[in-house]
Formats: sequence, C-alpha cells, structure tokens
Amino acid sequence: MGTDSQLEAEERAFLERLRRGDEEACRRLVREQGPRLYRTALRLLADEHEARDAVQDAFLQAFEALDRFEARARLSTWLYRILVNAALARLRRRRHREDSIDDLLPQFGEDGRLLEMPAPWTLQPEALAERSELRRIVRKAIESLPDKHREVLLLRDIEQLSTRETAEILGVTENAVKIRLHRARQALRTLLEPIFGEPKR
Amino acid sequence: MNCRTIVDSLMEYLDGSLSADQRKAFETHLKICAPCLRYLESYRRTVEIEEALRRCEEKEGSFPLELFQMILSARRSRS
Repeated sequence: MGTDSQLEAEERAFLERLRRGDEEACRRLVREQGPRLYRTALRLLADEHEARDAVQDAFLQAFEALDRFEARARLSTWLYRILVNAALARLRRRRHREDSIDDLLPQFGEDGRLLEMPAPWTLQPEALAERSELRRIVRKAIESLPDKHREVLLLRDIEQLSTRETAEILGVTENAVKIRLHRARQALRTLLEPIFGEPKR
Repeated sequence: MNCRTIVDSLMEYLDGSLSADQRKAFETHLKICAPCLRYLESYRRTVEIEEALRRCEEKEGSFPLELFQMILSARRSRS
C-alpha cells in the first residue's frame, strides 16, 4: 500500500470515528484544525470576538454536516471552506455594501488620458508594524469597499488564495475574480492616497 | 497604448502575464507618462501595504484555549 492510500485509509477511519461522535476524534479535529481556522478568521474579520464566533460556527456546522461530507475533498479543505463562508457571511451582516465602486476608480479624458496626477507615496508600508492606527485605517478602508470587491480582495490578497480557489468559494468565474481584484485594489489605492501620499499643494 | 489601457492592464503587468509585445508597449508608455508611472507605483505600494497588514496581524492571534473548550462543550450539548 502506497503512502497516499495509507493516508487516505487513515483519514477515512478518522472520519468514521468523527461520524460516530467519538469524543477523542472531535478533540483531535479541533486541536489540529482550530489554530489554522482561527488565524484565517482573524485575517478575514480582523476582530477577535467575531473570529471566535466564526470558528465555533464553522466547527458546529461541520460536526452536523459530517454525514454529508464526501471524501473526495480533504477534511481540512472542507473545514476551511466552511469557515471562509461563515466569516464572509459575518462580514456581509456587519456591513452590507452594494454601492458602486466607480467613484473610487481613476477618471480618464475622452482621449484616454489620466485626468489627475497621483501624489507620490512617501509613507512606507513598514510603518504599519509600528503604528497600530495605520493598521486600523487600512482595515477600515478595506471594510468600506462594496461587498463583492472586498471579498475578492480579502481572499486573494489577505488570505492569499489563488484566483481559482477564490472563484470556487465565491461561485463566480476566474475572470470576474481578476476584474474585481483589480478594481478593489484601485479603490483601496484611492482611499489610502490621502494617508500614504504626499499632501497636495 | 493610452493611460486607460495602461491602468486596465496594470495587474497583469505586475503579475507578469502580459505578452512580450504588450510589456514593451506598456514600458514605453511609462517612460513618457508621469501620471501612469505614479499610478503604477502607488498601486504597487497598495498591494505592499496589504502584505504588511497581513504580516503584522499574523503575529497577533494564537488559538485561545477557551475557544477549544467552548467548541467541544457546544458540540456535546447539541448531540
């Protein structure tokens, strides 16, 4: 028996124990997967309490849905997906935004020229490590983006998922992910310019 | 290429997915267009700021023991 199929057999046996409600197997699942899921929830929600709630929701949802889990995916991947969806649902409840992103995108003249000269950005990203208020400002700017752009930006840039994984989780095409990510970054750029750019004279 | 097409293809330029010809046209425009160059730099900086945010926050969260216990006791009370 090869290592891969050995692992699969172990995971199947573990899954069986979970399905039977074996306490030790449940403890092991939370112990092994909890820290990673919690870090993801913190990255997506940027709030300790909400991150805890999202992780708890995700585990309880997973325990209830174990019978429906098809062993085609890894258990860890399946749990991760449940957590991401739980976190995204919380984000939408927290601040539901459907407004247009157009006002935050650059403006062009009829000849296709940029109408405004962007400011040079003098404040370095390293400043975030020393100044917590800067981190709050960046988080607030991300939070103010319309839902569909914010979600893509969080999954691609903060959670660092691939275009494909992001598309699968959100149920949209890879092309939609690319377009939304580009617009979300442009909008974030506009929102951060007054902070990171030199003041306009 | 004009500013609009430059800005539209910025992300592809930065992730290296433009063809050699497109890349050359892109860089030719940047040499003569200060607004586009500034835009590119601040766009790139925005992505760096996101990365810095991620790195800073990564240090802030370790898995709380009480969360571990809460999850397990909530499961027991439901089953």
